[in-house]
Amino acid sequence: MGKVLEMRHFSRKVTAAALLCCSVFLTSCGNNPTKGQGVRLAKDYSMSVLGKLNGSGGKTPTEPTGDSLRALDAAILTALPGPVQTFYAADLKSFAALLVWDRSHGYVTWTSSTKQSLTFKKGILTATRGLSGDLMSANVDGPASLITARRTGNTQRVNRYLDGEGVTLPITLNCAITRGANETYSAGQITASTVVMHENCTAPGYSFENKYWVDGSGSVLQSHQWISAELGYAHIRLLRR
Amino acid sequence: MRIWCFLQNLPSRLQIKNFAACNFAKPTSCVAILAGLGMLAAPAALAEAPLSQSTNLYGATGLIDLPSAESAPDGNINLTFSTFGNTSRSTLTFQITDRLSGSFRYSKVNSFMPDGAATFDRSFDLSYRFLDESTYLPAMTVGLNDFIGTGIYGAEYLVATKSFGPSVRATAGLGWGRLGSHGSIGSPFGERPFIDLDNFDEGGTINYDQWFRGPMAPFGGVSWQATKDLLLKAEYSSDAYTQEVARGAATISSPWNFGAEYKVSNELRLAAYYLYGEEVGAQLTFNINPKRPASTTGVEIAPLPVKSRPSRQSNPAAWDTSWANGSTSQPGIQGAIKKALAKDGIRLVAMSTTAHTVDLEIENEKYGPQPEALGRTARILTRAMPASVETFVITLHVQGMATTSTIIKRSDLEQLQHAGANAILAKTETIDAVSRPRPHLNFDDETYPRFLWSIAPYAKLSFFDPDNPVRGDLGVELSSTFYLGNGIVLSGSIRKKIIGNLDEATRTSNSTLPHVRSDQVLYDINGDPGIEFLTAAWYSRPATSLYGRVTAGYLEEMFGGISAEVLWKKADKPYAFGAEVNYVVQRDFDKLLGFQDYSVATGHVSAYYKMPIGFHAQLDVGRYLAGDWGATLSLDREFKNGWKVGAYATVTDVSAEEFGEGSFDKGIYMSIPFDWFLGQPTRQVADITLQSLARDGGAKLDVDGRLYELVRDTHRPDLEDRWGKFWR
Repeated sequence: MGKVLEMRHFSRKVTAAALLCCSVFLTSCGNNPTKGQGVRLAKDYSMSVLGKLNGSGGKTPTEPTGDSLRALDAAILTALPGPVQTFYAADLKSFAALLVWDRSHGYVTWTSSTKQSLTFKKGILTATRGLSGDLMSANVDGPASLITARRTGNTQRVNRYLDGEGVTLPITLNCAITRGANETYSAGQITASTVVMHENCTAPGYSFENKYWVDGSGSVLQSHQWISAELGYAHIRLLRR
Repeated sequence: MRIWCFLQNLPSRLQIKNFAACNFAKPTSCVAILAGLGMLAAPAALAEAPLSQSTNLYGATGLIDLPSAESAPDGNINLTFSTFGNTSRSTLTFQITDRLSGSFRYSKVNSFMPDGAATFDRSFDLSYRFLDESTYLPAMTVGLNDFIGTGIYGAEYLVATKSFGPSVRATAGLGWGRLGSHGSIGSPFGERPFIDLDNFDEGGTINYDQWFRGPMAPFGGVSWQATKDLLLKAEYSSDAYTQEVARGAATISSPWNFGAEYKVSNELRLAAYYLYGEEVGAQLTFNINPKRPASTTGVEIAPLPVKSRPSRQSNPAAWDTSWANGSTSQPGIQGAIKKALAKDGIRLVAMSTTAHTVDLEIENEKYGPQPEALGRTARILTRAMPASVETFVITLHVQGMATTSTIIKRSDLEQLQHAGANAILAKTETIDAVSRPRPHLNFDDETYPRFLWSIAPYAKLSFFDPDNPVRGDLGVELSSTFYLGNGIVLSGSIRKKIIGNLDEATRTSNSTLPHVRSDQVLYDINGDPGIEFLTAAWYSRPATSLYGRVTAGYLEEMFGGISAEVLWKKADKPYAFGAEVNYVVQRDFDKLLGFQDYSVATGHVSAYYKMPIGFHAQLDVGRYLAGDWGATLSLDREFKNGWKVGAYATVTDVSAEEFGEGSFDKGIYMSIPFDWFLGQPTRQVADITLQSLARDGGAKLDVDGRLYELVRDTHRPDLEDRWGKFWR
C-alpha cells in the first residue's frame, strides 16, 4: 500500500538521554519476551533520541498541498477500497490514509496500515489509539448535535486522557459552537458545498479551536480537530464516502 | 582506633535487577535507566505550596548552602552533584509526599583527617512543610539534617519562605547544630551533647538527643527568577564550617553566599556559586518525576475494537447455541483466539466454552498493566465467540499458577467501550481463580513444556568504597528458563565479565559475624565466569487464597540450598501474610558448584499492606543469614504506573558494635518500569537497591520468585490502580 499510508510516530522530545546511550552499544537476543527486551527497546529509543538530536528527522513529511496532494489522493483512492479519509498531524509530522475498521453504536473506528486507530462519532473525534498521548474516549454528544445541525450554541464535552500515573483523567470542557463561512469542499471523489462550523472549547489548562466542514445532510467532510496536549491538532479529510 | 570517616568500611552495593512481575528473571541489566529519563511538561503548581525545582549544595530544595521552606513537586526525584573547595556532595532527594521530603547523601571532604586524608560521610535528611503560604503568612518547614548519620552534617532548622510577586521569594530561618554555628543568639533548649568526631561509636542511630539543642542562629536569603530559566540567589549563612576550618579543610571570611542557577531543561540544572568570601562552587542537578512518563498512553498498536453482536431479532441464527454441542467448532475458535492473542503479546494457556460462557486462561507477557491484557483479550473474545456467549471469564497465569479470574459481561463491553474505563470496572468482578471450578479446560499444547533463553548485557555497580567511590563491571549474561508445566520451572544464569574494576577493591571484611555478605569482593575477584543462580522451582495453588513455592539449587550469588514459601492473599484484599523457611549453605567464592562450610536455617513471617494513600508497608520478622533474629520494615511510595521509591531498616539482635559501621542495616530502593521511559509496552522493571552499608547483620536471602510480588498485580487492588489502560 505504499509508504504514504504509514503513520509514523516520532518520540516525544527527550533531552535527558545522556546515560541511555550506553545501551546503544549493547544488544541482546533470545526468545524470552520478558527478558532483554528493555535493552532492545532502550536501544531503539536512544537511536530515535539521537536521531532527533542530530537533526536527522529529515524524513518527516510536511502536509502535502496543491497538485501533490491531488496526486496523493488519487493514488490512495486507487489503492484502497471503500470509504477512505486522510489524517495529518503536524506535531507528529505524520500522514496516513484511514480505512473503516469497525462501526458500532454510532461510532466509527478508522485504522491506518500501521494499526493506529481513530474513532469518530458523527465526524467528531472521540478516541485515538497507538499515537502516544492518546485521547482515550470522549463524550461529544453536545457539540455533535449542534455541529451536524450547523447551528450556533453553547454546550459541553468530556475528553478523557490518562495522567502520568496512567489514571483516567476526565476533562469537562465548555464549548461554544459558531457557524462560519460557506465553503465548497472538494477532495477525492467528493465535491460539496459546506458550512465551516467552529468549536471553541476551554477548561482550566485546556483551550482549543476545532473546525468542521459540514454538508447539507449534516456529514462532516473535513475537520481540524485537537486530540491532546501531546499530539496537538489533526487534519482529517474524507476522500470517498 | 576508630576514626570517624569510613576507612574501614566495605563498599555498599547498588544492585540493579530486571524482572517482570510474573517473570523468573535474575539480575541482569542496564544502568542506563537511572538517568535516561524522558520528561514532558511539568505538572501544574499546587495553589498554596511554594514549589521549586531549585536545589542547594545539599541537594535539597533551597537556597545555596541553606534550606528554604519551598518544596519540589510531589514525587520529584533529584540527583545533585555539588563541589566547592574541599567539599563535594552527591545527593538523592525524593519528595516523598506533597509536604515531606527525604535525602540521602554521600559526601567527601578533602584534607579533613589529621593526616591530611579525605573523609567520607553518608547522611540522611528529612524535612516537612507544615504550613502553606497564604496572603499574609509564609510557608514554613521544619527539617532534620543527618539525623541518623554520624552527625558531621547534623543540623535542625525551622524556616519560612514568602513570595513577593511572581519572581521573588524571601527566606528566613533559625538553625541548630551546624546551622547554629555562626552568629548564635543563644541556646534556648539546652546544651547539645558533644560528639567526638575522631572517636565515636558505630553511628547510624537516630541522634534525637541532639535535636534543637545547643546554639541557635538565624539565617536567610532571597531568590529572584530573573528570566524563565535563570534563578539568582543570595543568602546569609549560619554555618561556620567549624570542623572544616579547625582542620584546615576550609577557609571562611564572610557569611554571604551568591549564586546563579540555570535551567537547561526540565531534567537538568546547572548552578555556580561564590561561597563564604573564598570559594567558587559548581552544581549539577538531574531531575526526574515518576508522574512524567515518556508517554501517558504508550505507543503500542491499537487494540481491536469491540465487535457488537447483531440483535437476536434481526439475526436469530447468529444466536444459535448448537455450535457448543459438537466438538468440532471449539478447537477452531481456540486456534483463532490464540493467534489473535499472540499478535498482542498475550499467551493462551487454556480455554473451555459452553454455549453461554467462555473460560480463557492467559499469560500476559507484554503489558505492564494487567488490565491492558485483560482489555485486549476481552475485545478479541467479542470478535471470536459466537453470539450466545455472554460471560467472559479471563484468568491470569503467573509462573504456571492460575491467580485471579476477572468476569466481564459481553453486553457491558458492547455498551461501554466508548465510555471511561471506570464504567466497565464497576461492572467487572475479580475472584480467586481457584475458588471457582474450571472443568474441561483444553490446555494449549505449546504452552508447556517451553524453553526460553536470552543473552543480554548486565551491569553491576559498587558505590562508596573510599578508594574509588564508584566501581563497576560490565559483562554478558546467558539466562534460560524451562517451563515444564504444573508450576515447575527450571532456570539458570551465567555471567561473564567483559570489563570492570569490582575485583580491584582491596578492603577485606573485618566483620566478627559470619561473613554472609561482607565477602562480596572475594566473589567478584574469583567468580568470573560465575553461575548467578541455577534452580528448580515449583509454584502451586494449594487452596483458595493460598500460594506456594519451593525452590532448590543455587539460589543466589552467595548461597545455595532449599527455600519454601507460602502466601495467604485474598484476591480482593490489599493485605497478605506469608511465611518462608530456607536451609542454605554458603557458596564457594568461585561461584561454581562448590560450597563452604557455613550453613544456616533462615526465614521470616511477613505481613504486607497496600495502603489506600499510595504507600505500601511490609514487615518481615525472623532469622537472618548470620543466624541473627530480628525484623525488617519496608515502606514504599507506590505510583500507579509501577514506580516505587522506598526505604527499609532491619534491626536484629546483633549489637551495634558487632554490626560495625552504621549499627544496623538500612537502605533505599527504587523500581522503575521500563515502559515508563520507553513508552513501549514491556513488563520489565529495573529494581535498584542502595544499601547504606553492606554488612553481615540483618542480611536476607536473595531467592527469586517470592510470591507476593509475583501475584499481587493480578489481584483486584492493583488491577483497579491500573485500570485506566483497560481500553488501551
